[in-house]
Amino acid sequence: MFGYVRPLQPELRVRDYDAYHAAYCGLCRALAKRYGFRSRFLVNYDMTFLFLVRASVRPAARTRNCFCPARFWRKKPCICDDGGYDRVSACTVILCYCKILDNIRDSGFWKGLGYRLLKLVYHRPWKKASKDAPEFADLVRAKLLALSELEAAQSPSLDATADAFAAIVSACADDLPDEAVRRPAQALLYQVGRHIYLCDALDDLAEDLRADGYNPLRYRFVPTQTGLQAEDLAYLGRLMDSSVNLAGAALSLLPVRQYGALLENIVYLGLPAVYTAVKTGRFRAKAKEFPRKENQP
Amino acid sequence: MTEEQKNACRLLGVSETASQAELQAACDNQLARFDEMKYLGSPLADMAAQKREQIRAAYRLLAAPEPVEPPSFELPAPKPAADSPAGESVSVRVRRLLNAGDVEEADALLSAQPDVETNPEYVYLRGMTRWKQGWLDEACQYVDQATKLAPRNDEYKAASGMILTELPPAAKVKRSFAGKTGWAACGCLSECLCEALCESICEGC
Repeated sequence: MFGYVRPLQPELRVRDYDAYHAAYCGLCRALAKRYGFRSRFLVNYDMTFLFLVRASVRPAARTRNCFCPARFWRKKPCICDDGGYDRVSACTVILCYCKILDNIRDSGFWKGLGYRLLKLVYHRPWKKASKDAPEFADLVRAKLLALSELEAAQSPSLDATADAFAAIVSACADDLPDEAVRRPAQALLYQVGRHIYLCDALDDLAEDLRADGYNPLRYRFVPTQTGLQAEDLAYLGRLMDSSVNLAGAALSLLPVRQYGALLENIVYLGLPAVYTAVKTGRFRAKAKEFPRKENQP
Repeated sequence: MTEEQKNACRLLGVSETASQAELQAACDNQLARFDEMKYLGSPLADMAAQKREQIRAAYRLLAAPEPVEPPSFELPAPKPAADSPAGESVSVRVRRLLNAGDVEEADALLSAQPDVETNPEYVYLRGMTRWKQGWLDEACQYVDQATKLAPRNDEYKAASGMILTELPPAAKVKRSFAGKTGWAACGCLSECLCEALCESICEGC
């Protein structure tokens, strides 16, 4: 359920593109620093967005050239904002560990073996992250339990299921002390969480129809064998657009000091672009055929 | 220029030597940014109202004449269902709670009503509580149901057109992918050692 929140690159300014890279690499570095080398593998776009939201209201942090294990012959610029990354890295570890647990539950014995191994690998980082953000770990556990109950009951409510996930994403901003920052950040992350959940549901729909798995779209609408009917898809598109607008309205209220244009790009351009790709089935295909060298800075 | 005036300039995003026309344009832009319509279904409506007030105050500080405000949209005043006098007070109370942002209390009050599924006013107000929660799908369903139950009510009809909004034109134009590298913003993940492992965890991010 990661990777749906990203900027639309052709519309990014070069400095915003560099800032995004530096934030991504900074998260990777912060994960390694706090939770060990293995946690570097958990870095993802969605959590980079979370960092950008939190960092946007803070004074600009130093960017340094840091060692990158993926490209050890060349240092890469990283944002070194330990205070900003603390909560984000804890949330990343907790969410990824819960995702592993979820995959173990959903997989058969043989396919689940890999996830069981991953669970062993990430158990210690998860324990440490749970100590760092205990209230977030409890909330994630409670909301995922509520979500699995809704799934077991085959709930046709898009909102109730999306709410469970959106509340988790929104809780990543619960610790912000200033209400003028916390409320818009929570509202923004809530709508982004909804967007992620609904995109993921649409992305998985064909597979769930084949495997007879739970998908809220399957019970809310009347899908054909390949996916949703055109009018249902149009309605879902309007729901997604409205979520984007509410997220944008929340972003306007965030007292940003930096990364404003980057965040606007992600919300107004990146989210709709990813939804369009998911809708047309190009999202997964693009991920595989992504040209590896072309986009390097 | 005093410190207060400098802050006002910062808020409006204009230089300290801005002309009257520039001030007016900046004020209009900022007011449009926090437009009441954009926050109708948002729990942040009160913060947006505060922000509009700050912008107007900043403008008043810098320029003598009153700014030309964009047309303001006001939800119709509470209008209880005429055919159910018993529900009158509940309806008004729920509306008051919703205006105050107390969505949970409003929902609990509505849920306690015996005819919550059949009284169009209650169905409509349930839609409004869902809207305030950001539950857009259920909000649409309730408002549509209320419109079917009371097809001549203009307020219900107007609300059904307001819940789902369209993207701003700039976002619409660019929503299709520009070229083959359109959405993939960061090349670093694809090159990282972690790609294979990450894919196994998050299924192809």
